[in-house]
Amino acid sequence: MVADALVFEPVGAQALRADRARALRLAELSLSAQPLFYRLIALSRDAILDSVARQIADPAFDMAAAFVLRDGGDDEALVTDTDMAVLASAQMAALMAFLRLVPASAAREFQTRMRAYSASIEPIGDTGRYVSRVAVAAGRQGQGLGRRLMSDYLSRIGAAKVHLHVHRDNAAAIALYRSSGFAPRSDAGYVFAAFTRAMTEL
Amino acid sequence: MADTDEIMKRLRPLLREAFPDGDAGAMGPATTADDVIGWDSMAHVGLMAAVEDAFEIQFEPEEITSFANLGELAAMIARKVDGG
Repeated sequence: MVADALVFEPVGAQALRADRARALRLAELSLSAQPLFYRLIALSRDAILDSVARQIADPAFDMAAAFVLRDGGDDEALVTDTDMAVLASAQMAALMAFLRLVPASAAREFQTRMRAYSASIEPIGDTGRYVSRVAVAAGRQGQGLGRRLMSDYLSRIGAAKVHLHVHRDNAAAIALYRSSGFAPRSDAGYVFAAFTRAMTEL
Repeated sequence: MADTDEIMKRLRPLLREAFPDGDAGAMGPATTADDVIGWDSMAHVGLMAAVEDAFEIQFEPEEITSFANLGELAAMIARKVDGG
């Protein structure tokens, strides 16, 4: 029943520039999708939100394409992606955006933390789309929004191969991705395991 | 027009700082990331942030990875210093 009022739609950078409250709402969702990453950045939450708000739907960053589930006027779930071909440079652009804001005295520590974080992520040497964030608003979890979000996203994007990372302890997310057709790429045991959904030929 | 040789000279201490395990003295315009020990993506980002500070310029996100070697980086810095 709950899903009937939901609308899946893309979000453009222009719409977010014109509506700061909405951009910050989506930035909150983005942060909730990667809590361990953003916690490594020695900046205030407001400073991080401000930077992330400007990265969403900007083709230079890893949230180049953004889609939401809206209920009435509210964004209740967010999925973002980018092309695997530009993922590395898009991630560097994001690191650079944060590094500029970090005081010079903390730059070395920032680099050390980010290196350790990177080492916990399973490499994906492949082509296709990369899902960089998946988030459902805190008050709307457990209502099937994640499943609806992934299903609408995958239909919309129509890519032969879609990849993502998931924390190995995040059982709910892993169950969602498996039921959406994703499978682990290996059993290498990274903290952030790589999953891929390859469209099967009919 | 900013001189790229001069820029290479000014880059040297930044390279030493960004790649402490690399041989900054041996780096020249043809040097690529693959030639330098410790030039990973995080060191790359650190170098670019240091370059922005030192030359008082700001790179567009797509410029951060838009050069193949140090010579191209120096040329890009020269363009930006000149306001191009």
